[in-house]
Amino acid sequence: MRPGRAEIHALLVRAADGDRGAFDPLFDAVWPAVQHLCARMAPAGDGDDAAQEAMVRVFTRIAEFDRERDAMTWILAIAAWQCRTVRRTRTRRREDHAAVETEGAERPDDLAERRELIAAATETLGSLSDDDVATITAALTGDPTARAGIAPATFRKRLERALAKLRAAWRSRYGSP
Amino acid sequence: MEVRERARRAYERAQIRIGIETAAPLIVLVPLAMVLHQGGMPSSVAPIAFALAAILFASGWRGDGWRRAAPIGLLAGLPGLVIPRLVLAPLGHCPACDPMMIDAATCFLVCGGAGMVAGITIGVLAARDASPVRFAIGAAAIACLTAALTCVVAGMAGIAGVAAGVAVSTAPAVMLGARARASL
Repeated sequence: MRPGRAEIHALLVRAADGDRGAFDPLFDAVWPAVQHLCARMAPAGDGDDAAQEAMVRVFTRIAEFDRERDAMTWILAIAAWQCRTVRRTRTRRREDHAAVETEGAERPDDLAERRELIAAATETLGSLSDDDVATITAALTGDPTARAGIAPATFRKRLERALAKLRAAWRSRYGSP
Repeated sequence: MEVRERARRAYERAQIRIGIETAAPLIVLVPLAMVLHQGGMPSSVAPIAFALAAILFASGWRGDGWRRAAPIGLLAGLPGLVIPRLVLAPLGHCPACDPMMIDAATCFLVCGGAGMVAGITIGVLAARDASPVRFAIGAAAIACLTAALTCVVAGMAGIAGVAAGVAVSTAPAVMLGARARASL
């Protein structure tokens, strides 16, 4: 039979007075209730950890127990507070994670710079002949149909030539490669 | 680590903290004893202060009647701590702080009287406690040592006076209290 509130109160008073013999009966009496509360109040998956931490806190703060108060209410208040702490920690962690993700995303300045670079590359590429553009595109995309009928060595030489022209065109427009 | 084990360790740490808190009044009592010795601290006071610290810590840590006895023992020992100085100083004994200069009979009477006061207080309170024997033994020991912080100047006579006073006045009260409990 599970002990009632009065028995739990008596056990907590004894334990608070330093009676080591009251520890195990008190633990056995309150642990299921604390577990049950934390399973409902704490975020999913954190219930057991919150319950364990709550029990440690109950016994750490046992000297602060006011005998005029109901023992079970006092214990469950500590457990509820622990669940709130876990939930707050979890929320804060999620916010921090979201902040890190936002920081990881491209900033508008970087995006504008990248767009400018692509526009410059497209313009430079546009100054080359159609054959050179087709060779570079085929090399970048790896499209086998674009290389159809061309020997690999020949394709390599064409690509080298096209890239050399691209570099020269870039240098003439923007200076350094 | 299993949760029960973690909780038990937390509980024991809490008991140790209570033990330290129980011994904390010595931070005031030892300087007070030094003031009563007019700034000097006889070498015999240090072992008593250490013994008192140990017994206060143990009482606080152990709990139950021992823990409840600690503050009562300290309060009951205060008259023994102060009275000899107040009574003997006008006679010119204490300022000399020389056991050879002290009238042992006077000292025994003064310390014994202070011990009686402490003992009666302890006895009455012990009879009402849930653990009267533990309470009486703990409080008497603490009262003796507290009073001995100054009484030790007069040598063993002073300590014996305090001890006898506490023991004589505590024992009947404890016995009466135990008998009253048994008859209920």
